[in-house]
Amino acid sequence: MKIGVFICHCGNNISATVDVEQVAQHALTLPGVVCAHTIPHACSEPGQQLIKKNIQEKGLNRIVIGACSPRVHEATFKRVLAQAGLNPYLLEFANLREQCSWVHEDRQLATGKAIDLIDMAVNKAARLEPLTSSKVDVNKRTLVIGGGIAGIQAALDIADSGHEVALVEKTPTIGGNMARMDKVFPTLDCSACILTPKMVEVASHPNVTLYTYSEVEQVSGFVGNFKVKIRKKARLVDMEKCTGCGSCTLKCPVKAPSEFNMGLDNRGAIYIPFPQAVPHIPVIDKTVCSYILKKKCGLCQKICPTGAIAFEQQDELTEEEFGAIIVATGYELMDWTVYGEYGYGKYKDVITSMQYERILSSSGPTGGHIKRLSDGREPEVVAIIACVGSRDAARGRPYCSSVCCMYSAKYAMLTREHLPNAQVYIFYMDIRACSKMYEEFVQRAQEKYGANYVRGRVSKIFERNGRMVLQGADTLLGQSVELEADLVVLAVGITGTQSTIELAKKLNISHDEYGFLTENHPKLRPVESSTAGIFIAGACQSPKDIPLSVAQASSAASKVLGLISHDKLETSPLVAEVTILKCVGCFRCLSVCPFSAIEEQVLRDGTKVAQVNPALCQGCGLCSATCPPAAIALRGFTDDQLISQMESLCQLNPEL
Amino acid sequence: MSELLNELKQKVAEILPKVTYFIGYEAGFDPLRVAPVFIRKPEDINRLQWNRFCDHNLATYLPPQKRPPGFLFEAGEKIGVLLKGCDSRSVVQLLQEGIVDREKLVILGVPCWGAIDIAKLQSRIDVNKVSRVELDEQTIMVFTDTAEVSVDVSELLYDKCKTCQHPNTLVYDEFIGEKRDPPQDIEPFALVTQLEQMSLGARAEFWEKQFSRCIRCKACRNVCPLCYCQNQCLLDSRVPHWTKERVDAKSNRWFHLIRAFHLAGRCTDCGECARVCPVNIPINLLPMKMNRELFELFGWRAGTNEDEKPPLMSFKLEEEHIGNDK
Repeated sequence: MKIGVFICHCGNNISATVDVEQVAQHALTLPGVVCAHTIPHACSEPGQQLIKKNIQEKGLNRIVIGACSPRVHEATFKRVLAQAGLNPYLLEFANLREQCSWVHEDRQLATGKAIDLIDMAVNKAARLEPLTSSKVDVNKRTLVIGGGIAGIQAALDIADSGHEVALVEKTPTIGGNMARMDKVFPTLDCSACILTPKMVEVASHPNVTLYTYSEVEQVSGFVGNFKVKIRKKARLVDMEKCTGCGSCTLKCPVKAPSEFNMGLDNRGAIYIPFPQAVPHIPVIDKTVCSYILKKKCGLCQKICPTGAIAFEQQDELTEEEFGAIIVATGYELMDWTVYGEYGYGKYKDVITSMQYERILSSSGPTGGHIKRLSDGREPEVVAIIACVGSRDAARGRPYCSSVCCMYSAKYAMLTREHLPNAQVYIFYMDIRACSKMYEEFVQRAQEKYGANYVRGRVSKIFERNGRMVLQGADTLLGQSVELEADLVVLAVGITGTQSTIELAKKLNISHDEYGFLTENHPKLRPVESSTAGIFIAGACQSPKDIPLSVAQASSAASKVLGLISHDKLETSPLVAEVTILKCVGCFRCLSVCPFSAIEEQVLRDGTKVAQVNPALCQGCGLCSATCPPAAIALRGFTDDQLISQMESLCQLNPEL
Repeated sequence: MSELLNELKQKVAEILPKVTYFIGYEAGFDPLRVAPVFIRKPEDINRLQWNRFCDHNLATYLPPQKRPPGFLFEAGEKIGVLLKGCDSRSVVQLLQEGIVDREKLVILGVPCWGAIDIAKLQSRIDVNKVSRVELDEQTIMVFTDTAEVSVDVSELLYDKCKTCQHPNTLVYDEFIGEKRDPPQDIEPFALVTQLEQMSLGARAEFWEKQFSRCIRCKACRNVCPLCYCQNQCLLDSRVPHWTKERVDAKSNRWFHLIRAFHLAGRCTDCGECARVCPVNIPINLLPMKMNRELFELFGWRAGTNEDEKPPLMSFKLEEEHIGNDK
């Protein structure tokens, strides 16, 4: 056993608080240690050379590095070992920075702790064994979940590179929230005009299989080899026969609130969500259709010229295999009804931002005319309240929704373009306009379009003589204000969705309390999820505008392409391993494994023992902790190795 | 009691043709003791006993891993077993863990009024010289050649019987006798609560003293129906070396604490470990303490509901009772 110990100064990040020379001197006294060096920057080129030189000249076969967190540089030093001809898993990393120098002030005590940490690492290193990875095939197909702008962009990028993509969308059409929008900042181009070409392109792309009105039912497998069950919900319309003529939707006698128009008008039980829907094929809402509920009506069936109505249709389940998954499930508006003081639901002329988008849109319920919902009158004063459900910790929404400042300015402009004589007031907290052309956009709203910005929150809205009265504060003037408006638009904040949380559970990826998916590293791995091979794009990760969603979608697509450019993947050797002789076949490991990586294996004499599928195992160690006879060990973290660490620690404290 | 015994023998006679053997109790080496018996032939049925001294947990013989050579059976064969309420909890837990196969068991249920702890009799009469015992529902009369004593049975019950909530067998194929109403207002973890009223220092001293008395005979482990790892037991393992072979308070402490952790949420409070301890360490209190933690955290009591999944044997992304303080 020839152990080499290398202690990094990390500039002075470590050496300012820890006497690294003393630590190195101590390391030399430990059994098996043949050399101990301090290095100003172990990760630097000269630092790496020093380690390599020592490995080769002194024939070191275990390496202990005392430096930063292994999350930062473990991979660097594993490479150094490999380049010097050593198995990279013969490395033990002691975190002297995040877990020592950065969190302590007393130099003497911190040095003592660093010595303990090196002691433990050396003792464990002596018990390390060389580990090797195995290889698994990579399926080249990709699943994209969510057919909004992010999902469409990601699917197109991958399909364009010549790889197959399946795009699954839970609603009857792709397009997502962007399809609802009228014009989009900062250029004020028509949302539908830039979105619909992409919708058509993705639907007709030879490499894309489109599953609309479908949901992911079950996901198993692992990076490179996911098995996904997709439920194709029954549209009750035969997609092969339907020509999309829409006669059925005109004759349907049932009325239900239109989801696409945010409940501002009605649709039939059979409907096409919006004129540019892709696919342009109607769907029957089983919860309201008279034929489904009472076996009466069936008018659509009588009227359909191609006999496409299929009431007997059932949900279909298909199972497909994919190498990678992109989640782009988007966002929804937070539940703004918690703001009872704004009178939503009580007053027809208090509406949400998404409803205002539909009112502004020429394909919307008012044909693009700004009208009050109560009496159809054109409003003279429009008030927009920003941060409804954003930056409001008291209502459980401490984060910024990042788009409301911009679309509020957009509303000011569009309102003035539609109604040049109307006055627009925006109640805001701060204006956040920090992307390309955003600040100029807000300036334009103020200077060219005469938007009145009032800094302060509205505390109450009530009705007086048919108008909405807003009471609040102008914090710049330091006085309370009262404004009579005809129409109030709540700039409602963005939240993750419940269905994304449910999907995250199926995919085994993590999410936060607001339903946003968690990226693997906020700075350096922004589109990777916590599970290998699953990527995230768009507003399901955090509130985002369209440019950012598209950029992130392309980024996720490039990550997928990087993954599927390999024919085979190396699996981590740090996985659980069963010692068959010790296994008593209680299978507690199988029931706790979050990754279904443990299987039953029947031996020749008929006894059943556990077996680990190394490709599925993520090395979480639950099985190892659960196994009563310690028959399952986590490679690289075996009981023997961990106990040896504990023992070196406890030697210092004989009471333990 | 004798009626119940007759009914028992009758039922065993019916069951015996269906099973390889039936596990029950027979008279022991003196009138105070009973011993487990494996009935294979009809002529042995008369050896069966059922009385207030039947304290063994016969579920111990059920896990295949624990069955001695010669007591294994071929596929398709069955075992019959007599189980008290507390013992049946062990079987429920073993069923949940997939260790025993319900199809292979024929369980005879019985109402239980609590078993007599002979150790509690010791202070009143020399229990090793007993020549005759008379027992009715309330009182027990014990005779030696030179002395006799009459004691109220309720004073002699095992501590575990005083906090028992399951006087009737929970899973069974046949039930003999009348079911008892479960006692109300029982605090099942009373013994742990009592112990925890001691100061931390006093409690540490209490356990240190107990551990220093332990001779590491491992009877507690061997009798436990849920300690079925046998030769693979972590506490016998050399690599990794969790506990030293040395028998001293420190090494013994590890032995018992590891065992308590391995029984967390699995121990069914049968108290066999404490009963068989040759130096009378109340070692059942350690797993009982773990059980109380599991009860407070998950509302879980091992072996009481066959349909539930033990919380430490399942993986959930979110736990109902953990991390919901927000």
